[in-house]
Amino acid sequence: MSIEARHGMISPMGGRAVTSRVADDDTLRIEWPEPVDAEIVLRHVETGQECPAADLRVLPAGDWMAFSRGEPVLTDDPGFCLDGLWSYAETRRSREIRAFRTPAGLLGLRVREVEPYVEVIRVTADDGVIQAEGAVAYGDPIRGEARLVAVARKGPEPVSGPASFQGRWFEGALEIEPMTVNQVRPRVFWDLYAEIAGTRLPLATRLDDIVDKKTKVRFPAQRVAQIRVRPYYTETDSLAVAVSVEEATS
Amino acid sequence: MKISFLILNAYGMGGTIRATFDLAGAMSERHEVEIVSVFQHADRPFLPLAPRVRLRSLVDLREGAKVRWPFARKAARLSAQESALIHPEERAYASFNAWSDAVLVRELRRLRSDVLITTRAGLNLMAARFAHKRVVTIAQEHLHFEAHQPGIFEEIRTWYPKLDAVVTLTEADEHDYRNMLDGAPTRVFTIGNGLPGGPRPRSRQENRIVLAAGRLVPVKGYDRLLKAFVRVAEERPDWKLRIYGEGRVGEKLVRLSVKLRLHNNVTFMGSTGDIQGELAKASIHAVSSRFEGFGMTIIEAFASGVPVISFDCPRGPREIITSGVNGLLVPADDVDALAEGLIRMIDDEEGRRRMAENALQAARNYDISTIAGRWEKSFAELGR
Repeated sequence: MSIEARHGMISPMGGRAVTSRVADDDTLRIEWPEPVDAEIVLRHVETGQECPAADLRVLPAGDWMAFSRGEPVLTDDPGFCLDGLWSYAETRRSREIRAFRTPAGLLGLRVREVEPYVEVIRVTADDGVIQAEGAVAYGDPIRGEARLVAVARKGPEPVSGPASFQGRWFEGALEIEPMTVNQVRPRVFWDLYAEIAGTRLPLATRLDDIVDKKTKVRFPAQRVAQIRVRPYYTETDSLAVAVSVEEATS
Repeated sequence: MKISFLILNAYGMGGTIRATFDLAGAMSERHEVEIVSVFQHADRPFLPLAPRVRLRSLVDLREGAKVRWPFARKAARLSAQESALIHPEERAYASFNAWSDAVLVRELRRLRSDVLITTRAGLNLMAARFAHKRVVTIAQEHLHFEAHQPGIFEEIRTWYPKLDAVVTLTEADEHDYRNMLDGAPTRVFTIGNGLPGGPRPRSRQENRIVLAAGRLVPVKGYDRLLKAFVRVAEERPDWKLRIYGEGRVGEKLVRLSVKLRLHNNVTFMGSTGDIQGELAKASIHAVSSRFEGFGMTIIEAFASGVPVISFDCPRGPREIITSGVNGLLVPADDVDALAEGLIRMIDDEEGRRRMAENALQAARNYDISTIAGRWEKSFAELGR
């Protein structure tokens, strides 16, 4: 938080929104305590570019702050609910628009380019297997046999295990032992994908507000002899697996 | 009326500083208020302070700080010596030294405010010993009665009778101090911490999130919350637990969470500067403490429309939560009862919404203007 925000220097002018959310049809819905007919203008945080909030689909990617009559819009709404993020992701899209509330209570929008992926909701790492369950986000439903594929960033060939798509739902499993054979490097990172008919969808967990999951979620480690296998979230909240040779403890 | 607060260091962050700033700000609407910080290590306070409150410090720890002529050499010499006036069992003993002793005594002897409010045991004792007799001295105890070590407790027993009043956070503490002060003219009041006014984000009870917040230290009992959440995760797998805070048992708790296979349901969120904003995303606040001196996060949860489930531990929770009305109290240290209580609140959405409404009502009792009013009433009773 900036020192200005902490010390209340951002002027709290105008009313406070009760609800401020982006609907599934990419419109910004703001509910005020009493009717207001002020136009909302969005200002890009970095470039300063201004756009009317009437059509969010034309917004370039980045963070935008909402203004009304030249003053920042204050809101008492977190800007989303988790179920809302899920239902928003059920539509095929190339851009995602989310409302958020800053710690100082200001309304902002984040516009990101997105591609279809599998939103992971459950990972199991036991009994020599890594299993993932999730659902297709920002893509069309798929049906059929698939593979859960692990692709090493450097070195070994990809390995895979059985998986399936049933509409949006995805389930897949992967034995960890093949990832550990012939490991010469101290550590190899494997990215995970759901593969069907030659198309790979990355696995990731993004339909929430948790930033920097890498440091906030720790998955169980499994061992194959001296090699440790542990799923983790990358900087982009994608699901990956770190395979490391454990150093002998002296 | 001129009111002075004496605080260890107003430039850091922490519960006492926040509570003192909020109270001073509310009082400054009707009184001349100053905060005297024994130490200063930064140019500006970290936490926001109302502009009408004057802030000054006694010992400047900033690099290149100068001591007023002709005291520079004396300051350098005394700064290297241990404090002789602060008891070694005062938790902040290491901050004090012989120079801060000298400066504090001089300040207390000179101070002519109508009311002096001191904010921790070491400073309360200094006020009892050295404050001018015309100044109304009020000692605030942010720690609970039994938290004091035996040595400093003996000093408290000896010197607190010289104070005009002791203000505690809970009625349980009020009771203990009354017993200790038996026969002394010192008055004892319970006044909880207040919540600053103004609008705040509000939970809509729409996210399946249980929130816990506080330093990751053993007294917060997060190990028990994790164990209770194992059952929640089994029976209601779409509910998540978010734990906010940092602390020395953080790594241990993460390991326990891995061992309990809670990685799909528990996230260690780190610390946040916007707990109200985070509460507004949650539907239940869980308190698993072994002991809770007051429970400011309970009040904060209430103010965001989030009901609270808590162990019925000493002291704060049972004085703040009305079980079944704005939250749930479950038997202290009973992990199964905590799990059952969580599942009960999770399943009863209608009851939770009703509790959320009641919680918003209860939070009003802790509005800073209400709290400041109670302080002013105590001043009137102590007036000379």
